[in-house]
Amino acid sequence: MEQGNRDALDAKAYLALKGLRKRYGDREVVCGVDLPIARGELVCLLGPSGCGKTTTLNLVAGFAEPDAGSIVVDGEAVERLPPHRRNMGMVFQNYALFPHLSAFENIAFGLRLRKLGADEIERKVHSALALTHLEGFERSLPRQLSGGQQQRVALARALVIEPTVLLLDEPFSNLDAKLRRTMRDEVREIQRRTGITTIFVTHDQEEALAISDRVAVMSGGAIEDVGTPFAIYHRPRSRFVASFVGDLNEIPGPVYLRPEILDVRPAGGEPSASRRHLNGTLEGVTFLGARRRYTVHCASISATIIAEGAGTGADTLSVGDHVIVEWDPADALTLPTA
Amino acid sequence: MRRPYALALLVPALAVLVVFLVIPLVNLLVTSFHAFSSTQGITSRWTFENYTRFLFDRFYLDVLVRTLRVGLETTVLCALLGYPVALFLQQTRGATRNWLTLLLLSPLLVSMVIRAYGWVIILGRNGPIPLYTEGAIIVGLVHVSLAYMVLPVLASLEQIDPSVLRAAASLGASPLTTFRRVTLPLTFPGLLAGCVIVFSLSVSAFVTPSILGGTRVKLLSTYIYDQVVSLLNWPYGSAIGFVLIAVSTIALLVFSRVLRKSQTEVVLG
Repeated sequence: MEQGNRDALDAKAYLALKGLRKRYGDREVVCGVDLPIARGELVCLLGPSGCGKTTTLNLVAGFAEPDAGSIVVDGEAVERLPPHRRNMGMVFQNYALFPHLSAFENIAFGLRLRKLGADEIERKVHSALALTHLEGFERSLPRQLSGGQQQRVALARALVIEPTVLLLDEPFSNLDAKLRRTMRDEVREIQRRTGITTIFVTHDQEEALAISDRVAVMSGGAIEDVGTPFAIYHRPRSRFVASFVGDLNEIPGPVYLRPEILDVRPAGGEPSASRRHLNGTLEGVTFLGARRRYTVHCASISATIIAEGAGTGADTLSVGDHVIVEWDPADALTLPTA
Repeated sequence: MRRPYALALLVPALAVLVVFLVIPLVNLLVTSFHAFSSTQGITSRWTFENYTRFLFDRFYLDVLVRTLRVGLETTVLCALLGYPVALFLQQTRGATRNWLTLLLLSPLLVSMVIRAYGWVIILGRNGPIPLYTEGAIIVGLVHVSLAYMVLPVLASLEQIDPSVLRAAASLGASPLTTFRRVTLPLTFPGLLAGCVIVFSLSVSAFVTPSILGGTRVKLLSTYIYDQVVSLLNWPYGSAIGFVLIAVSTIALLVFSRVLRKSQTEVVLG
């Protein structure tokens, strides 16, 4: 990023991470993270385990102190404040509800510490319960609630204190796939409605693309690429980013091809002039419901290519067939640092 | 596992308990309702006099109160001294922790008699806590019982998910508030278990009180010993024993009720 551009972003940033570094023993886990985040924006930190995303989140929350760099919230440096003075809401992977308190008391916990009146606590907790569709569960203990309900209580508990920033640490990874998508949409909806600036940590690229205003892909303790989900998927800055946010075929050139731009058809017939193609042998077909996934071995480049097509219609191709893999060259990814 | 097999696993332990605890206890209970004569020993006459003698004797009631007081004070001291130790142990790892645990258990590796005589030498007659006082007995009992308080508390500390404590911090709780509102209530079960064990051990202890209390401060267990061994009055000794069991059970129930009540107060307060 150009210096002038970055200053402009920093200036309007509500939350800014500047040159954050953190070392544990010999290993530098976070090495120079810069990330300006606008007010009301939801930014995902996406990366494989050990990439430093959770440590970065812990630095923001105050559970670890950075060796260098600063964290600015609304113009105020907070990196030396203990977590209980930062007024940030956090939702944890394993919910981290207080097991001895009812859902109501869990949500009221932060409000009681703020010495609010009983009426006000009652009012705020009830509106948080309504926001997270938890009416009727006030008296339940965490162990009496399902995973999704527990995660809603955790979210309500974090939001009710009206935090400056909301931090979500892999909040859906303990939920089953269907519930995960529902919760994801719900969280996004609540985040939009409350307009709260949010950092979301995940290793699930689909989740990151679906929920974020911007995605920051991390690797080796640094941010490798930041951008809108569309830009990250279609114009990634590096091969690592391209292959982390989606499946990627690499053929000599090098040319990078996403599976969904490839068409697989039986060998023979005229290749279209405007399109590029490779000959190969079909090694496998996996039916995924909405899509079919083809594995094609191309002997000419000694590579295996993955292609995806619609799941409709009968299977016309079978394993062992000679096939042609075709694509429009305009659809190939171009990487600035290939 | 099917139920019959599961129950079979209990049989050996159950057999030991029945043969060596339940049957002798029932036997003693029966004995405690028999009359005793210094010339004939245990007679066949049924009577309540062993119990009425105890309950209407001011002297024995004082001993009972003293026994319960020593038990309670030992328990409270163990809780106050043991909780910080458990907190410290929870935060250490590896070799340090193993050595500290060994140190904690080391009083149990020494014979009770030797340990008590050790305290006789340390305490002396003119020290801050002189021998043959309740204080001396409590020191000796705390020394043996501390591990029984620390280990259950440590076990319940270990069960607390560290992210729960982080959640409290993120909601604005200082470390002290987090301790008071989260850690302490979550370790009440361990604390309660520790209190039950320490109290039961203390009120029934014999060797430590008889050496450190001498002839001046006697607890109930010493009197039971006197009745049974010196006077051969088994019926009266058994009766005192059952009164002690009954009273300490009631004391434990009251104690746990109070603890549970204070737990809800901490939670809501």
